[in-house]
Amino acid sequence: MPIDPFRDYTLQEQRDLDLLQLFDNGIRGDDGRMTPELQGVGTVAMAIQALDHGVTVDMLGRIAYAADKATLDSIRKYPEDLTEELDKRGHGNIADVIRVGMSHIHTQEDGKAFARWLSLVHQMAKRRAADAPKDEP
Amino acid sequence: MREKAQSPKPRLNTTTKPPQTDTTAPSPLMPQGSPTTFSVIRLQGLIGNQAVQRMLMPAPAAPKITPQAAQHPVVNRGFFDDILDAVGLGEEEEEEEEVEETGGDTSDHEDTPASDEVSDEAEEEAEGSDSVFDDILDAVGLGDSDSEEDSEPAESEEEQSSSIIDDILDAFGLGDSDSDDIYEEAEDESEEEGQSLWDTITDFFDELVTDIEGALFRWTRVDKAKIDAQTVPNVLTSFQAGRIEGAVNRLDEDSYDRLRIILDNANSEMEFAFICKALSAGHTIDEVEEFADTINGMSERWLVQNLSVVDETTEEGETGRGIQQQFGNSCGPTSLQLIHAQADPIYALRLHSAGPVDAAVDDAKTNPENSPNSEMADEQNAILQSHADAGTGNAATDRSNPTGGAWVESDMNELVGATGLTFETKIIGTAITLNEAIDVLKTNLTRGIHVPIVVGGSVGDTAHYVVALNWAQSRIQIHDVWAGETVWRTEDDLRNSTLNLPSNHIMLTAVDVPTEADE
Repeated sequence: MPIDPFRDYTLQEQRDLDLLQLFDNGIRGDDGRMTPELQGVGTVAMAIQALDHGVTVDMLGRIAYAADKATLDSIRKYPEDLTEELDKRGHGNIADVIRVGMSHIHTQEDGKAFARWLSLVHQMAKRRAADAPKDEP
Repeated sequence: MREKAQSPKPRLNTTTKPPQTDTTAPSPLMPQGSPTTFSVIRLQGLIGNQAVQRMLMPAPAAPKITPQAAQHPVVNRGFFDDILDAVGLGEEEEEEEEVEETGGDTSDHEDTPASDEVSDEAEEEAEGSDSVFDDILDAVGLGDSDSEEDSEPAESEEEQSSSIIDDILDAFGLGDSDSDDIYEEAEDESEEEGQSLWDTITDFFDELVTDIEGALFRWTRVDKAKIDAQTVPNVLTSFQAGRIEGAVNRLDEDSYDRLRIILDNANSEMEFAFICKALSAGHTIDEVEEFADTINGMSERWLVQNLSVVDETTEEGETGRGIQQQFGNSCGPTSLQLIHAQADPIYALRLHSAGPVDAAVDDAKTNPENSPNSEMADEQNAILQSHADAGTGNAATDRSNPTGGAWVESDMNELVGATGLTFETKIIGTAITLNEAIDVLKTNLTRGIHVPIVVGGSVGDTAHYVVALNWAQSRIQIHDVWAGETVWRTEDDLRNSTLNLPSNHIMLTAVDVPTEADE
């Protein structure tokens, strides 16, 4: 079922969302902005699923940094800059989402939008991790 | 990225040629001299010449591994005992032998611990640092008590090389009474087979020396070779590399044992180097272990990108990206972060884990949520705020409103454990001349010490902190934290106030003179 950016998703639905579908409409819409499915439910769902799979907030921060630093050329030449740590730490499924995203980068603007999305995911994960209930001492 | 220095192969200097194929050049196995000195010299040649003597000497004046020396944290007395026991010269025999050497005078032995007596008397006899080496040779049957005085005619090179191999194999239980035959057979074999035998022998001795060295000292020749290979931009400076051995030797036994396990698990020499760098930056072994887990198995490209905050491999004419100030007046705190991160990979990783370090927004003060790296921004903000509260500076402003910040040398000096340095600001024209300032830069940058400097538009205009990273061929590499850009400028640019940095400043107006801390 395609992702509907204009409806509310429950927490469980976000946990079950097929993240690979986030990029069905590319990274940016016709107006040049990040697609609503990425910016909305996609950001939250990616953060939730990454944390669920054991990806750390720090890892997401480093990926956001790598994406921000990347140019169009470097993404083509060194795509592993964004996925190496995920792959090596056993989070290949999350790395796959990033690989699919990178495959939709055709311009420098696409790359910037993708880096912004990863930064949003990082921020969302950070907030969720900070708000997560702590065990009683 | 600049090509890395080739890793020196941590082998002995005996592998250049098999002896039977080299009849012209003097082999490292063929020291000139009498055959009686030869038994000492040839093994020295085999296992690293003077370097090995140094390795085997815990203290220059100690002719024996005395009880005092055995208490030295980097000397493993037990290893010596093991060697002596293995060859039937354990403690009892060792003492007896010493008694014989000292003329059998045992009159004081009832009142004085034997080991002290042995040590004292041996000290009188000792001539330089050869003594321990000679004892080891004696113990394994290769020694010659009169080796220094003997002056029989020298053997031919071929005889020497054959004899060396025989003696060595015999001494370590690998010998064969007919080893001459073995040698001759090898000689008769093809050159490749001869090389193979030679390699086997030298490999054996590589391992042997490494084991001896590793048992005696914490920081070995192989460790040093790995660090030397990684003393390259973005990994280690020569100054940072020089701090590592001391940091290792300061560890308690338990921590040292844990460090060895951590280092054994390193997947590359670069990983090894960054782990050592983290240790020398003052981190506990727990922190180092956690760090090592995080970077374990990562590519060198990943390591460099995540464990430094500027790109020191930026070439002339290129502009490298690196750490950027988040506020209109946080050049000082950002320079502080740069100095810290380049000395401490754990801190660098923490900055990167919080998001991009080389990006900034104009309104991070007004709208902190817009900051691409809130932790990095928060730290810059906190440093400025502490100065504002103390009346020694101004609070942070937006980048859209650049203004004065604060002198941050006191903050830098608090990082002495990480950097190994303290800094003192000298303003050019009052506390230091331009020539002296340039000398400070040359001296320290070529030693691998990063130097914060202040630039402006005229004499005394201490407008903006930047950091000098390298000096090469009358050129200086500078990271301008305003733009987050690394550039090269010439010595003439420094002298003529034509720096034209990305922040538009042109003149060197102050330098933070580094002083190496006692560690």
